[in-house]
Amino acid sequence: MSYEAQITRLNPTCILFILDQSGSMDDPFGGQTGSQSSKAQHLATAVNRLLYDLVLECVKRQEEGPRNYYQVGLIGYGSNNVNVGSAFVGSLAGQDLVWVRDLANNPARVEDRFQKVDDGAGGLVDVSIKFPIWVDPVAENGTPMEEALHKAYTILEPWVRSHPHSYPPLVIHITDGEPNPNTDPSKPAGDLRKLATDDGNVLVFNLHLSSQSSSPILYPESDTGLPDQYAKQLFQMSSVLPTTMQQAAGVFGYRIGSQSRGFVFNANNDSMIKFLRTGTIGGLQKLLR
Amino acid sequence: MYMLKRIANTRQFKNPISRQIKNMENNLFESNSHEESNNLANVLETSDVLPDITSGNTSDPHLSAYIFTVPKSGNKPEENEDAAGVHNNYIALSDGASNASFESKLWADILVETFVHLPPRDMSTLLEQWLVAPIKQWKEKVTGASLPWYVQGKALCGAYATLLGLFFEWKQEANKSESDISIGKWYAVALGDSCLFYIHKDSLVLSYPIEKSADFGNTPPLISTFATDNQFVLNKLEKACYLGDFFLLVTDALAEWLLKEIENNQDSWQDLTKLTKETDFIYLVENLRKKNLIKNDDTTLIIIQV
Repeated sequence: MSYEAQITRLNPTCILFILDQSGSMDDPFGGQTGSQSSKAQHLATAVNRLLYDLVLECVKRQEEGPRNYYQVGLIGYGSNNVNVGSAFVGSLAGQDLVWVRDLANNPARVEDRFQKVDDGAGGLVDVSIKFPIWVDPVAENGTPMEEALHKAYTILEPWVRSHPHSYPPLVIHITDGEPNPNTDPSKPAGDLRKLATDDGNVLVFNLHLSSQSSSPILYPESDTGLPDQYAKQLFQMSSVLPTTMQQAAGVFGYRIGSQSRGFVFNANNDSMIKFLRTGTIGGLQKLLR
Repeated sequence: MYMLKRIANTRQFKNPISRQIKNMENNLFESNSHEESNNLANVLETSDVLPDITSGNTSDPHLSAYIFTVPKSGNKPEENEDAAGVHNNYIALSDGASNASFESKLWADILVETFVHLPPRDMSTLLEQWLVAPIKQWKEKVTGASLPWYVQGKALCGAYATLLGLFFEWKQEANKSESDISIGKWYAVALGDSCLFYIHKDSLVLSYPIEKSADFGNTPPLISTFATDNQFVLNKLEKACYLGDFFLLVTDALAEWLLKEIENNQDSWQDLTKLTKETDFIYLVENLRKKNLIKNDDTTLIIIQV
């Protein structure tokens, strides 16, 4: 059986995000008008929040720092500075993969944000929380998706060789647009999915952020009904969800089949947040030891 | 009061995880507005130490007790998240949740200590009231503005643990040499999947609260540091107690295996009642792990003999 390896400090796993930082990410989600936050802003918030949760998942006791259950990478593509490269800002800038403990101790900054919390008497009150920032919103230039996926391959190819017994790495790719002309991201995506540990092949999940007001297509089992060639290509690039992730998606009330892919097309902010969780903590939580 | 060492376990708890999901947009950390109840902290500071639990002696002349624990394979003893304690005629076992739960070991410790020193006056009262002091104690240890952001953040997740409690009431003038006449009563309360096995006259009479190995896949409610999650009334089991009775209190991995053995007409529980050395217990658990017969989890056994 695959995707059952216990995730331990001896056999950690790896979570690699590939973030579209191209110019179109400056627009709001499809169907929204006026001075809405851009997709890039929503994405940065969602990724920072997910990294927050990924760190917290490794924190068991006060006197010990977070446990190194995984390494995390952020590849950005499209931005002026790097074209394709590390999307970390602050002291982690330029690094491909960092351990959870280093992530925890080196955010670029920690902001105070307010969150609605239960007041214990049926109401909600605002409470200040510490919100670390590792990635900022970026929206510049073109969409070198193929190059970014190839970069992921160069990072994970040696990783699987050095961690043969680990839960296989997860690649979470988030984009809002079509790749640059005359490029084919499905080739490096296929190479990535061929990489494997004893416990299974590298998982590649794709999230497409909506530029239209149409409803999201969630975790499809086939490409029937997908609107265009580009959507079908992203579907083909996506791995089938392992059982634990099917269950994690089910927690959100999604109808998931045994062949459901880790793929959402035309995601809005809500389905983006749930997708990020499903494809990471949601599926891994029960395997952490 | 004898406390155990404990460690990180392998189990999943729907309860904390579902709260964590709820918290994605709405992080909860209720303030403890309940009145400060008792002097638990003082009691714990000055708690007496049992003579020597590993020799079977307890501070109740009717009982002998052994407590054994072993962390999940690959983890250190201080990472063991099980807690167990015996004080006079009160015995408690708690298994701290691993996922989406912070300082579970501390929470399990506090629950055990509170149960054996300051048990609920009436077991049928709402848990919520009894838990005011332990929750306060847990929160005091995990909050502070100078702590790293991730400690402050994780504290918002709260802690979760099981609780299995056993206690005895003795008859004033029991005939202590006659095994057919009850010498008192025993009571058990349970929340979660830590399990009690009752053995009378060399027969396994019952397991509580879980009766079938198949029920271990379910995710039971747990005791939380969120007061509003603890709206339970404890169900109390009440039985007559006889000289020679055995009680095994075990955390889930071992309990599940024991129930499977019982379902296959194997009397492996007999081996457990005979254990007197921690090394033998560790050997037994490691053997079962090697054969893949039990989950790699923190594993604790309390043996009580009347």
